[in-house]
Amino acid sequence: MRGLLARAALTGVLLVTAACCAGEEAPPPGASPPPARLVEPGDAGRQSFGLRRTKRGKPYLFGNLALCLDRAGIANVTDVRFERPKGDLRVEAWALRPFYRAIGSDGVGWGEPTSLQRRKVSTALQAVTQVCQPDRSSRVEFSELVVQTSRPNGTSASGTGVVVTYTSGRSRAMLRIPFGITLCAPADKTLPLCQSQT
Amino acid sequence: MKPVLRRWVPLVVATAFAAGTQATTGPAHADDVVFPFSGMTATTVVSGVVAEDRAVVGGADVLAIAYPAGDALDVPEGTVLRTLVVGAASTDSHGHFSVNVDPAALPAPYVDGRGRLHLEVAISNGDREVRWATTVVRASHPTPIGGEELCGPDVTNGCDPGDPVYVVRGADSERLVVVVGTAGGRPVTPIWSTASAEALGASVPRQLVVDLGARPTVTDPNDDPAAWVTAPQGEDLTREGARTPPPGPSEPIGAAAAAEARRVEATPRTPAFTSVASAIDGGAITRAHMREGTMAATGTAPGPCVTRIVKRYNGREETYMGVYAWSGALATVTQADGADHTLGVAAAGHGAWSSSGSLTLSVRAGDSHTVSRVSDAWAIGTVNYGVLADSCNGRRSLVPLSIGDPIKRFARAYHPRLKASCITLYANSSVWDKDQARNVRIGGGVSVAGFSASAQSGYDTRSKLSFRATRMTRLCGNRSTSVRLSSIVEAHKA
Repeated sequence: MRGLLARAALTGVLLVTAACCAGEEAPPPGASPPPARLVEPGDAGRQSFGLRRTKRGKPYLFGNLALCLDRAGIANVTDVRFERPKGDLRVEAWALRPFYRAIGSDGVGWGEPTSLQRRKVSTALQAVTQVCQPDRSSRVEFSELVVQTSRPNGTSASGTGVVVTYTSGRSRAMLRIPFGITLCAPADKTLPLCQSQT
Repeated sequence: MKPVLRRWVPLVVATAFAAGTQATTGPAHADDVVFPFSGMTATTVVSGVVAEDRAVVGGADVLAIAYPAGDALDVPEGTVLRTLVVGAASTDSHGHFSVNVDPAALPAPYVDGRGRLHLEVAISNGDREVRWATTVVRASHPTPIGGEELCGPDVTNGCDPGDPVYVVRGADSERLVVVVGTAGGRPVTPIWSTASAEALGASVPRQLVVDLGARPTVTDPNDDPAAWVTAPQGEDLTREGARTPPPGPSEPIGAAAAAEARRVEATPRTPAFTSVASAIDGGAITRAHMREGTMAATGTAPGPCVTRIVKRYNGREETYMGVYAWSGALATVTQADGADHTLGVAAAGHGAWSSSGSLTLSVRAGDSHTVSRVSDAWAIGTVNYGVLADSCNGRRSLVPLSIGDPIKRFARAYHPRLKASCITLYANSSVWDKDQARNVRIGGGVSVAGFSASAQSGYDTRSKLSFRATRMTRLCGNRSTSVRLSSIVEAHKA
């Protein structure tokens, strides 16, 4: 069965019905295959990460957010922003880095206290072309999304997830990555991950 | 007489379909009755494929029998558990079946506080029968299923029984398979699902691949035992005294154990089928009841026999979660009210218990528990099991009845060194919460009455693992794509 799944994934013959992505609907039976969708390549679920000591205005990077396509195609990313932002948390810049091997230690960590420019991460690439591989495949290909953000004022700031807007074929769609980010201000313990008991 | 269609050997398949299916004859029995086949509908609670020695079986019968749920299941020794037939279906010529249950037809004792239903699925062909226990939950993700078939009547090349008819993706691209076609080929959005599918962001009813042949097996294609891992028992961290050597690493349970987890015991066909056949003959149950999933409203018991709890095993330890941390990034384990645990069910075979599915139970209100500063430990809770006996044929099964203490103790665990993906936690003080992701399933997580049952606790808002990094920490995972996507994560000194 694994072989069949792999074959289906590679040839793009499967009709994948979606619970995944806001803004997309399953095509009617008999329609041509839908355009490639941007997805996370695995079982991630909802996670949240908090930096409990941050400096106002200082950029922080969040990488290790893997993306791939559910079938052959191209997804052109047009926008990356936080879901339900508090404290004016904004995506200041973002980058895509293609990988065709295990990410190992080469990914960008969570809360690296630097900017994309200073880390020499190019923001030129805006397309994802890597196709998701089955779990047990020896082949690895995906794109790492890296987000740069900062805390713009004196209060703690957060977002409940990262929303990636992209175009694929003639359609426009969104992928929600349920990875919450919190940047705590020293004097503001109002957000859950900034409280001392958490 | 029941026709048995044999196909799915790739070269034979095309011939069989071209020539109009080759049929053989199954054994006759007194209650021979053909339940409807509908394909998957919105109310399908369980669907699957029935085969014999890898040849699909048409006309096999399937019953869905509900256990009482919640407090009605957690009852003292000697209590009769009043089970109820809630659905019935037969397989079509491709061996496919779908059992439908309308939740509105379910009496209150058979649904727990979260709308879940504990089922024993009885599958029979001829004079043999196997049973498989499972818990189904209400769907929370609108997941349309249907469209072009990967395997089916028109697509057979390279297909085996149980190969996917459709593949559905969860929110994070994890694949879930559907092994039957939809009714009339129309897309359906199911109202029933499984806890594991829900954790992956999709709603897919339970899928079973049943082989009633010489070595009977039941497999859930969305929960392969080959992915289960061992939980080597370490020393008890809560006791003082002599220290034992640290335990070995957690590993896949292995091919032999995975095969054993799929093996089931075939027994003679029980009176449950006769009882339902009689109710159909008498007009109490109609084909519409079965098609529309309203059979529970007829109050049909699975035969004249009763099921009684003849023995309870309370407070059995359940090893359900490995926590791999270090002093610079200690972990917090939270088991709040309602945290789910999926626990193995066994049936009595020839002098031993054999696997017979699993049920998902929850931590009871008031039993929530949080433990901080955990490092390199297996989290161990307690569960209460019962031996259920059938009054007619003495058939026994070992069934989890309730969760006891969700965190009783911790035992030392081997700290794995993972390399597939690693990041450094730079901040002096950072916190990572893994709120909602499927935990690994531990084969042999509970030992009770000589049976090693599997155990799994899914991370959700009620079952959570958190790391607090106070020093430079390397966080590494088992997936090559990222730490975030890893099901096993360990923290060590940077």
